[in-house]
Amino acid sequence: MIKINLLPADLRRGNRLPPRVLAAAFGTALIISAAVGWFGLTYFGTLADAEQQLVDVTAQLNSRGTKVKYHDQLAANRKDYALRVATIQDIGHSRRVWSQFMDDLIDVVNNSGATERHLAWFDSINVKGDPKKSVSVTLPSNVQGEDKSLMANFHEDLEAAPFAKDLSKKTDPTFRLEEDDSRIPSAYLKFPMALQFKPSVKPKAKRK
Amino acid sequence: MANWTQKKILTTMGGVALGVCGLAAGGVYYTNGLIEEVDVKVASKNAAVLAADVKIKNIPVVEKEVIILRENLGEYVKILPDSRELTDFVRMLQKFERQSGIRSTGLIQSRAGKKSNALFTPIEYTYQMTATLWQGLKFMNLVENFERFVSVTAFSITPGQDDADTIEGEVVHTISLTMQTFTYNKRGAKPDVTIPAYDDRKLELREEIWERMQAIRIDRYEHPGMQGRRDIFVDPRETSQGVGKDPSNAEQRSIIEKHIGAIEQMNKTLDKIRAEGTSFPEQWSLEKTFKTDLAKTLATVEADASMIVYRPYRLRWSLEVMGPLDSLRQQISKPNDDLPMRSDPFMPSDEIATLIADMADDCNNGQLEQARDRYEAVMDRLAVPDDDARYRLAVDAKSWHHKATTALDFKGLELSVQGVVVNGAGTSGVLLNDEVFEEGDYIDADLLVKRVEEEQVWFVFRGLTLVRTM
Repeated sequence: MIKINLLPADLRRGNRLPPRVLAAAFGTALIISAAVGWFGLTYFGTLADAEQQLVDVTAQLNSRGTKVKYHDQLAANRKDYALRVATIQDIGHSRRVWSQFMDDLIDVVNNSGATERHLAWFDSINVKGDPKKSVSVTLPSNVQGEDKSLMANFHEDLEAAPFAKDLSKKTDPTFRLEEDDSRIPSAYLKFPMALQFKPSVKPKAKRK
Repeated sequence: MANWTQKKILTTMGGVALGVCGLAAGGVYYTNGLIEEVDVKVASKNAAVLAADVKIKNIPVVEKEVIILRENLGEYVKILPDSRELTDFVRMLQKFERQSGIRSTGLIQSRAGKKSNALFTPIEYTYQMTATLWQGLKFMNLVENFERFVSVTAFSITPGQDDADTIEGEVVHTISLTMQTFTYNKRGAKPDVTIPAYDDRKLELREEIWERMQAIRIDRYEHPGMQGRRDIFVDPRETSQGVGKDPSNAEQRSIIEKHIGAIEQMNKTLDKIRAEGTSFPEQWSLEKTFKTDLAKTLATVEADASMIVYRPYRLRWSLEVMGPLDSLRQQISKPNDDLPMRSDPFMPSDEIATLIADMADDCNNGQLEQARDRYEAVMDRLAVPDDDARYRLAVDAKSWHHKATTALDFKGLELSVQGVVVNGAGTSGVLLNDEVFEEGDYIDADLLVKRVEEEQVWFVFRGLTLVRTM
């Protein structure tokens, strides 16, 4: 349908917006304002507050920076020194006082001058090894006479010596009967003797 | 637009409103994302601030640890030689050789210190020598007791044969000794942090520094020497060639047993003298018997000693005859009234009190040797059990003995005070043995400079404050 206004132009009513359109326009403006306001509040309010908080906390952290750096350097020094000190202590503890061992060994052999229990002597001594692994002492030994119990006594006395607590292994008794006519008595028992010491440095635990 | 129908206008407005709302919602969503990111950063920085606060609070503790460790490390590395001291060490070997009487035949560097980043570089020397067992052991003991850290890592003794050289009747052996030491590599160490008021803090912590330092004390052992013992690398059996010249083993054993029997008899007599209820005439008679028996035994002992040639019996002779006889001889050499009736083996209280007063006088007058000797002369009679009323007095006497011996050891230290700088407001210093030490500095593991004054320097030596005047 085509509407034709037949009134003369001066009698016609102005081009008024209908109230429905006006109300809708108003409503639209309100909604748009609310949406823009919401965005503005979030962006310039909450976000700005959060950023300000970040600036504040960053400033707090920066103000502690010098002291924290000092602490960290101290901690690095502590770690470094502790490692070096521990290494020196390890070196110190790895040492075995061999003059003491020899004195103890001499006491065992001399047995306060009593010869009834055993009369022993060694062909040589050879000490070698690594304190971190183990040290071995090789002592080819002899006891006077043919009586095997004398050799057993000597083994027993070695096991009771002050250094025995540090031993991890000792040769079991075996022997060979020998004769030396230039000596009285000529018979003697020759037997091997090897002492193995426990490592004097405890191995460090490996990190998994 | 003027020709737009109402419907079109309304639709357009609705569309625009919807579009703007959509944009706003999108913007808010994006902004919330940003806020979340910032919140995460804030949370992490807050955690960092908390962690920083914990670290800052912990600074005094770490500082203390660092000071103690730094001082300890400084002291510890002193036990390890530097390259210059290695040369001195070789010089020391010559000194030990002279002291022990060994004869060196070679010094080989079996492991040279390689340049590496390792904290400590091992260096090994093998010393070859000929010596008797006792000389070799003395040398080894001197090396092990050297002020710098030296560890014997290997050694061997190859005994001399029957026709080998002897020194004072002892067979000369071939000995090889491998010694290891370490040099300290300071390269690679973290730079030392400057700790404010370090010297004051060090002074405050000196007790703890001292205590921790004890952890690295190197074990020392004093080798007692031969003490009548036989060489364990020599076949102790009799030689068939020597038969007839010396008394047989049975004869030697019977000589020893004869003396042991006589000593037992004399000890029984002594017990009777000391027993309560022995009358004075009995005591007098027993003392006479004791003295006569002892005189008889002493008259024969020298001749008999020369007959004990069998090596295993020599120790028995020394332990079971000579030792007890010496003890009996000491009994007789005391005044007569000192011998009998002393059931209480310890010194009476008044005598201990007098001893303490005398030792105090001696120490205060600089008679340190006299104070030490006074105590050592009666030491056996001061071993009072802790439940005895005299125990406290005995401890006081021991304390004076400790002071005297410490002061004597201090006196023996080579300390040449060459000058002092006294700073009334701050730390004073002393020029000692060509080195400058400030108050609170350790000169040695057990020697600290406590105070420096114009006329005197105060030291702390093994826990005792001692003053050296200039």
